[in-house]
Amino acid sequence: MAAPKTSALPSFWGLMLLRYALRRMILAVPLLLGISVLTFALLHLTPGNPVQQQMAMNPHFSAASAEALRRLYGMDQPLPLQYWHWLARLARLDFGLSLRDQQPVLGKILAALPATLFLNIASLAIALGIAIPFGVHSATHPKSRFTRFFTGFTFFSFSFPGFWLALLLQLCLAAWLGILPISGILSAGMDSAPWWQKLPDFLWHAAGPLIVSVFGSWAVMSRYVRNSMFEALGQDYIRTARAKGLGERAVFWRHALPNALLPVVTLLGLSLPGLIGGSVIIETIFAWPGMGLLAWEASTGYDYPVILGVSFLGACLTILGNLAADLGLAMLDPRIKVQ
Amino acid sequence: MAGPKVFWKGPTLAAGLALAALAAVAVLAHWLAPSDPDKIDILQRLAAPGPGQWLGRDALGRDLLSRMIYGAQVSLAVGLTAALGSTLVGSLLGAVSGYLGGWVDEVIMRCADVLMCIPGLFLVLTLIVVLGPGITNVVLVIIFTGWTDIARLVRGEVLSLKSREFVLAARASGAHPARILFRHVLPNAMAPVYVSLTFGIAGSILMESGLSFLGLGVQPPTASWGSLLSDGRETLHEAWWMVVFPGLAILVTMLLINQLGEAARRHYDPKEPA
Repeated sequence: MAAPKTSALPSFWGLMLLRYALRRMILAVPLLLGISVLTFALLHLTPGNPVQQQMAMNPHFSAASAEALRRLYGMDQPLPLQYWHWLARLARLDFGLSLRDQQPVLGKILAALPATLFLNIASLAIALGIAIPFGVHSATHPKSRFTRFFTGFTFFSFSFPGFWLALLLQLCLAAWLGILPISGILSAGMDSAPWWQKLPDFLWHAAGPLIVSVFGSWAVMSRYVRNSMFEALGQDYIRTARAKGLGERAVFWRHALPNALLPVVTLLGLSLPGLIGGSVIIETIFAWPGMGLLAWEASTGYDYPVILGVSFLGACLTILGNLAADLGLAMLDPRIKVQ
Repeated sequence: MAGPKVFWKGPTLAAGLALAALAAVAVLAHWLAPSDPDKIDILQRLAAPGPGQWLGRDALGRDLLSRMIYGAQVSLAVGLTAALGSTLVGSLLGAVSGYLGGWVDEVIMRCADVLMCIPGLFLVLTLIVVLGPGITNVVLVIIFTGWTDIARLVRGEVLSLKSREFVLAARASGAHPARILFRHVLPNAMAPVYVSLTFGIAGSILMESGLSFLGLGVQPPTASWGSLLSDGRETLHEAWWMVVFPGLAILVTMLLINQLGEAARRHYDPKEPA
């Protein structure tokens, strides 16, 4: 039930929301510390620390210069002190230099981030755009032939390996028919083209990764929407709405759907790590220059600073996303703020 | 096993039988495979499907059908061990966490939180870099990253069970806490675990094939369905069969396992609409 619109109450709700937001943010701090401990531990568990790595690559490496490097990396200091320095560097988002090309890791990640964000946000929007109407329809018409077909199809797409779909698209649409490009983000020579030529070319390249990404997520989402809608339709307030003579259309769209979509907001927050991390294989297959491709290149090249930086930043993005989803939910559902 | 009746009829029974057949093929690979999966025959390079090579040959002239049959061993074995491992670890930690509560609960659940907020594949890739590629490490990594969901599930079940009368009765009669947990509480918390184990097997097979596809799982010349797809990607323009058949094997296996999982879910959780 919405709060009565008096002058005092909205600011009261605003304060509650602020308090809730602050509490959630404070809860994120130990989580971030935990992630920093984990990444630090992983860095120290790696077989062959950076010094040994550089020694292995360079036959003219002397013991003295190894010692100098150890001091440079601070590896002669006690572990707690090393962790403290690691933490201080993480706080400044300083992940060090890539072992491969000696470029700052943060720069590499920032360069890769837009491609990944575009792919994930666009695919999320498309998947939701398909999933909500499909889910609502199959909840309101549970016996129809369409619903049965649709249920079968969600089951099928749930079982379909995304990277195989990507390969099939490349095989059929790119290699055989030539409708889509095989991979990449822009055609050769398009870098310096004006934007009205660049944009269609970019979207043309994005089609393959987007199809695979949407295909992977819409089935789970629509199933979620359907179950949640199904539950909402059984509630007392729906009976009340019908009893007071509202049309079915108003009952569905105004009363059932907004309530049914509340869990979907939570699902969006929860699916965020999957959306950021799940694109590794898609990005690798389509040579889409995002975080996933960066992570894969780093992991096959033993580039620890890059892979740890990507993991840490990915975790930060996840925490931020969950926070945003929780706040969104709190704004939509007044019951949550006061619990 | 007191198999509930739902598993013994219709498509579920068919799926179970088909999976059993698939497992048998994997176990009997040595006798069933038409040729040595690693035998290179460069003259037959990329030979199309036909008599002598029913599913075609790869870029080194190796028989795809034989490689897929041996690949089934890897995919199924990894899927089973990794899913069983993470279910075991997750159930134990979740049960202990829920039953003991207090700081133990706090430590286990905060660890789970940390693992869960690093985007799935990034954590997996980081761990593979630390441990090195290879099939054993793939199993370890799936267990390390996969136990968290099950732990939360079991913890929730145990929390709601531990205040029930039969637990109280067991405690009143002086049973050891470990006995209460493992003989009284845990068996009652297992139903959702079976469901998630089934889907966990499917997920682990998918994860293994994904990692092998990325070159971080099985190492050549050993084949798994994922590494075969990765080989197929190299010869995409010349050999469609290298891309189609291994993927089809993964898809069919996923469909069969998920069919069992759905049946289990409907059986144990009848609230949800079919």
